[in-house]
Amino acid sequence: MAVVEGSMVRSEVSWYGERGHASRLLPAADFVLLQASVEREALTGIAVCEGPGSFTGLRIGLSFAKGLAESLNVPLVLVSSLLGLAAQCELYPGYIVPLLNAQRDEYYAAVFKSDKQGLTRLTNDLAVKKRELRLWLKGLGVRECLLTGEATDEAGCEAVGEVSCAVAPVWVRSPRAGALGVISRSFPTTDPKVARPNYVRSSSARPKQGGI
Amino acid sequence: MSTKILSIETSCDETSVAIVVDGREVLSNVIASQIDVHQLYGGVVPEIASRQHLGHISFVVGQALSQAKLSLQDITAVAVTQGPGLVGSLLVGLCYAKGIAFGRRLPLIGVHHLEGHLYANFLLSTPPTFPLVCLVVSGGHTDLIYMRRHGHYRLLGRTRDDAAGEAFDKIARVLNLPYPGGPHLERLAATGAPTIPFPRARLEAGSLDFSFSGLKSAVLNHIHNSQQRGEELFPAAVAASFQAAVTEVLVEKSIEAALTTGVRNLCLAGGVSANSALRSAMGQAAQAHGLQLFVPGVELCTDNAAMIGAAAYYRWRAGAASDAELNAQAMLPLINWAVDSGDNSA
Ligand SMILES: [Zn+2]
Repeated sequence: MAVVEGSMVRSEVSWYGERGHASRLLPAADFVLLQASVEREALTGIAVCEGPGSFTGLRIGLSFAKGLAESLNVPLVLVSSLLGLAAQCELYPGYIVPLLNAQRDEYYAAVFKSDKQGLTRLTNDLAVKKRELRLWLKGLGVRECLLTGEATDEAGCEAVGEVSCAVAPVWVRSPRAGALGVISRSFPTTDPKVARPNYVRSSSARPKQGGI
Repeated sequence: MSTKILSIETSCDETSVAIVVDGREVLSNVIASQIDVHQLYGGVVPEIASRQHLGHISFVVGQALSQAKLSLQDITAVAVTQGPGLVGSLLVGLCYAKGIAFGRRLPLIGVHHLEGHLYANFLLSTPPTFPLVCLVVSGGHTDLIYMRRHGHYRLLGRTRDDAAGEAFDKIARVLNLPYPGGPHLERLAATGAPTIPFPRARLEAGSLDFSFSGLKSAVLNHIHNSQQRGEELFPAAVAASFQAAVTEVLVEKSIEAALTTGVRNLCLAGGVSANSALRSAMGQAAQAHGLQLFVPGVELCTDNAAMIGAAAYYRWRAGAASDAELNAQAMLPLINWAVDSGDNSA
């Protein structure tokens, strides 16, 4: 969680763990506002990660952000988790491929290109079969790229194919709220009431086929 | 000044938001049902329920406020169901409630879902007085609870296997009734007579516990056997006989609980208490034993946020607001929050 003013991250806190995100929302919000010496009523917008990622995790963030934006009467901005990760590696000149574990033998992935013009998105956020990752990249004309995100090590350790992959240093592989807040400034605002995550995948449930 | 609590309930497949004044007056109680969606799957799909809650929550809050002719500025506190329930669904309501509470600098009150059901009785125009015994009967619970005063619960008995509502749902499923099974089974039962002598599990003498698995097996065996023998099955008779067996035991044990604890006030709560056969049987038995029976209106028996707002009010009045780290819990025991001074006053 972070408080961002213009392109400056005034305060930021990150924490890890599969569970317990919900219980830390309020202490974290209190902390970042206090450290930034900002009153909550002075906030002019709320940026939140739209996904892809853990379904429950996305909902924890977006539910809180909705409630906050509505009660403060400020707009919401949704930012892709993969874009956020790519932006943290913007110094790398070339293709940047953030990867998150998506279970079911897939990664959440997208391809970005960083050059003098800045960061350009080349694909949507997708779920890609792990074993087809290199084929997919090759098909997109990517011969050389930087891998980042939590699944970097796993993907980077696979037998090197025709795509040569550099790996981002560990300290930029985790999503940071500060980066998300800074890049959110160039995104359109959303009505918090209708904001929803980009799950990328549908629920795995199948409608029942007649009978029981 | 009056206490206006905005309450949120998202423990299962209904997104509900209510505004309750002083734990008594319901200004609005909006419920967005997801039955249509889950019907396609024959039951609640947790991931879909969570997605639906997130899609609905803001609109349901907006409706609850506009029906009450209030804005967020008028709200005194935010209440939310903390558990038990589907954790993904609970988290949407909880985190959204946290956002609202934080933005408006309001106290946040986590409420136990069962406590909510129980407190639906305090929304009656003549609420119960203490001490009381309440039968909380739903898809997840069949509990007999003794209350000496607000926030003070003693479990007298509970189901040892299936909850009554769960048994209803299972039997409805084998009778090929659509989801949700309970109300459909009740409708079918109304067209038949309780002619099949299914067993009543009374357990050992003096026990106020319940057991419905034997009854469930007996019903399944009956259906299975008649199919094997090529006999015609009368679903309405099966439904009526099953419902009669469940109702009889629920009523008997509730009356016994009231008599052994010496209370005059008996309350009904939970989704299954919307069942009219149970309501009328309990009413007759209570009258026969000189007990006063309290039963919330049907719309306050099934899951709704007004009951959460009612329970939250008494918690808030007792200074039992939640701390900032409140989290959703799929399993959550009903915990006393009353400061116990050992006396018997309400
Ligand atoms: Zn319930």
